[in-house]
Amino acid sequence: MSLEIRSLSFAYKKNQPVFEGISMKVEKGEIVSVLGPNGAGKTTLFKTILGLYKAYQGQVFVNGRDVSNSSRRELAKEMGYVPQNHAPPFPYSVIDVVLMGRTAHVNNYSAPSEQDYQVAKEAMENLNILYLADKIYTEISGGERQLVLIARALAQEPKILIMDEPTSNLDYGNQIRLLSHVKRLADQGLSIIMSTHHPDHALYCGGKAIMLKDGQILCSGNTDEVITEQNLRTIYGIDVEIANAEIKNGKLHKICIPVVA
Amino acid sequence: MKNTALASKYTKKNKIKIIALVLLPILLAIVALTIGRYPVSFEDLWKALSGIFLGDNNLSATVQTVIFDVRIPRIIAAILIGMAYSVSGAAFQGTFRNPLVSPDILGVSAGAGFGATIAIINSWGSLGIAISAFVFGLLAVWLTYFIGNLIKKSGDITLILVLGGILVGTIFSSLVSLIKSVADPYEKLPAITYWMMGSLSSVQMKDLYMVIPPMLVGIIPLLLLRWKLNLLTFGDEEAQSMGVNTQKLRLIVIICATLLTASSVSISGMIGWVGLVIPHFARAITGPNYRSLLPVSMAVGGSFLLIVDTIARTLLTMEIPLGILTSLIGAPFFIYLLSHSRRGWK
Repeated sequence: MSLEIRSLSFAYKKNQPVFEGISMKVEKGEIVSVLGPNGAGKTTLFKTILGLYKAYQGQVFVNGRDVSNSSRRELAKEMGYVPQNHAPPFPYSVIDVVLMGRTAHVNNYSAPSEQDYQVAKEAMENLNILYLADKIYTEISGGERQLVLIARALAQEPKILIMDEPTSNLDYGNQIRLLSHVKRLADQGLSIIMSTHHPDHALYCGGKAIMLKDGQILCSGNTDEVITEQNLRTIYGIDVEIANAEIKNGKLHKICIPVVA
Repeated sequence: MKNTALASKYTKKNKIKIIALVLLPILLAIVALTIGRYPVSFEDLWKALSGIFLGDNNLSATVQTVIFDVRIPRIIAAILIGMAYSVSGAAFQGTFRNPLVSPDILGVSAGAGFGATIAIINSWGSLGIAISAFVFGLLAVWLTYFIGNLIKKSGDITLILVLGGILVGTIFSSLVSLIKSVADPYEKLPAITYWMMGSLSSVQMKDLYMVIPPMLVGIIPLLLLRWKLNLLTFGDEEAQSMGVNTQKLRLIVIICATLLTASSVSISGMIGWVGLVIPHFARAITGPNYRSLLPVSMAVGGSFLLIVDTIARTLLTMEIPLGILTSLIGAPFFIYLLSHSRRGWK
């Protein structure tokens, strides 16, 4: 399994690209963190990769196959999308929401089978949220809702998970819990592309990182090489120092410390 | 194993409800057959109905006419139209992701009403009324959606669709008034006026034969696709990322729902509020999942309109127009539902 993006660009209007010339490669079980200031084009990039927006130029390949001619159903079996937090207008139960992830596996004119329940339940167990099954989706907390959306994407049984700022709107504890879920899912063999506003989160997840600025890739590579004081200053316009902190077990952790004047 | 229990507990609970709700309109229909200005005893009713299979029933011609030519067509029409409006309302609420829309509010009823008025004034006959109602109903929903998209950037899409529907509805009702003002006051005007109030008093068997096929064409795809309707309520992009061709699905749903509304309008005139209130009521019974919501809406909607129509024909010595009664009952009932159901609407 691999995802390859070749010089992808998207534009609402001709010659005014939101992003252009984006190329990257994601291998099985790899995490790619996408960093960039607000409006850098992260969400638009994700939606173009998912085929929700039509690419202006460039291609997306899954397993060496150009996906531009794939049906929605075929795409959904390859890539799962975890959107930013949202609320639907109707009070569905959590199990109903997770089951919707089974759409690509359910026959056109039928509803989920017992087997689909099984998959949905496993996805929820994987994230330790089975206890939410009968709760009302619109009445649970933002952190729980984020996990439900991930469970829904897992129920889709995709090979690639694309997550749009999964840690936004979460409290400190839930952010870290979510990141450890992400790492575990990658260890299980899922490829993950996620956007984040916290360079520390990218460092925590390891793998690769990409920095976007004004719709173009500023730099990409191993997280350690991408997240540098120089690069952070370039994309966010603030001074940041990266320190090596030694934690109790003796391991060294890189952390970003903004320098406040 | 534990999961299997979860799944079957989940579907079993709803299955019982659904069976109960299917029986409800049938029982009500039997009761309604006996009620009316000319009372029919259960014994005579049994004789008449079993007579269909046994041949002779030795009942008087009057009783036979009352049962077979007057009440049966009317009762079937009431149940069908109640079902059609409710399913169409529930489907519109899902595709537009908006619990406040219904065939009335989106302007579909007004558009279909205008189409039917044109057909009446031109004496196009009942098939002409049906086709014209459908074409203008579809035009109305398209206009509402178009206006909604046009001014979307200035606010919340939920409210804007309601606003667009009110605009479109107003335009079509004004056009109907315009036609009425120039219509022949002895023949066409009373026909249009009475028809706009909504009534089932003149429904005959031949009207049913004409309206049942388009209703089936509208209702069967919606029932088959009903689980997928859930995905539309999460918005196009999410639904697409889960593997739904949303453009195709939405088009099918809108055409089917409009067909249901228009075929109802073509035989009964304008009957308001059913399409808005019943889906909410059904949601309060069974939750928002379209898998059970659509069948429950059908059963509740059919029963509701049958009850109201029976009241309309028996309460006073004169017949109360059905559309007026559904509005009088529907509006306060809707307020009650909104203030009492936690699960109804978020």
